[in-house]
Amino acid sequence: MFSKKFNLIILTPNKYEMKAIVRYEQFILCENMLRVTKLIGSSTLITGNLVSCECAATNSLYSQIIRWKRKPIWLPTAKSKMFRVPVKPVIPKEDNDELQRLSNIYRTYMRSLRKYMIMIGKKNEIQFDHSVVEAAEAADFEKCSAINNEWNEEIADIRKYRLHKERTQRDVGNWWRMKNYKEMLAENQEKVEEEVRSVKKQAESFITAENIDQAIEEALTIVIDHNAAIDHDGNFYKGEYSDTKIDIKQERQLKQ
Amino acid sequence: MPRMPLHPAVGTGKINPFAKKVIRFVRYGCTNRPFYHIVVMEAYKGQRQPPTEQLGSYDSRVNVHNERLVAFNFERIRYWLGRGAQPTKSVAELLGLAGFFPIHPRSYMTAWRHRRLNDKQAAQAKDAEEESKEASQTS
Repeated sequence: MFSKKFNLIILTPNKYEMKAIVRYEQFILCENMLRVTKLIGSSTLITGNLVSCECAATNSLYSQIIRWKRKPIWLPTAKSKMFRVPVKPVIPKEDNDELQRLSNIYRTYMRSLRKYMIMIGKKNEIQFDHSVVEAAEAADFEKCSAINNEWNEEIADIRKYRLHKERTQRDVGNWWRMKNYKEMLAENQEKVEEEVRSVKKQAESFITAENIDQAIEEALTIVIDHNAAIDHDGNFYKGEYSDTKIDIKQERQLKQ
Repeated sequence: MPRMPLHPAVGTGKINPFAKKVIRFVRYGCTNRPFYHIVVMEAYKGQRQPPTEQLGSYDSRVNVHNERLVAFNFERIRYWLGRGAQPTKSVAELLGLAGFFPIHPRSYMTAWRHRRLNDKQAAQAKDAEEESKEASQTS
């Protein structure tokens, strides 16, 4: 699928910039992406710093930037840098004098400012000491509590008056309610008594154990004829026509 | 990889009373996008160690309105200065620009250097213009 050995030009961007031709030997194919796992023939400076997700195509013409690791502290100065003399900044005398003057002023200002801050801090430490703050808080609480008690008394008076008013109103209402209730009870009693009276009146004609024989006798002796008739004109005829008895057996036979 | 153990960005509030305190930047943000917290912490501690307290923030990149945003908790800065904390040069410079400290000499220096550079560039541009004019007249 792809050659296992090819050359790759690496351009590095930082101060260890150099062109290096490095031989890649091992690749892993992972979702169309080649991950560089090992570089043969290169120093430890490269291998430790390769970004694992950087792609390396199979095409040998493809060049890729690899960031080089910083020179470890234990490595000696590079040969190319051995006799390099760092350029020192040249500051004109006027500038230097001016800077010195400004710095002197600045330092004086800062010293006084710092001392002032420290003084304020110390003052605050005394001023906002725990015991002092606590005492002040207690005094403040006392003050607030006194004011609150005053208000509470005022409100208690108002409440007392209001409650008294409400109570009297409630008493009057209750009296009226009780009166109405009593009236209603009396009315109900009257109604019930009336009913009892009417029932007692009816009870005189009731059949009891004492007069039951008499009642039976009466019922047997006194036959009431309930037959009645009506004509087209709406005239009632009651008791005018004698009772007609039908022999049920005879009727049945006739029907058959 | 998260920093372990994670600490609150506003600070842990822990103090070493004997150590020197310093007010300095801590670089947050990411590669090519700096963002700084202004913190107070012990001078011996590393940049990304848990700070004692956060005192502000500074965005060194200009925003859409061409502004660099900086926030300070002046009350706490005053408190920590009173406790003997030393601001670093860059923080002192920023505080100077904010009007809390006197202007730092380095601010003046950068200003005059920029001014000089601008003047030089303007002069060069003018010279180039004159030369081009002369060239056009002679031809």
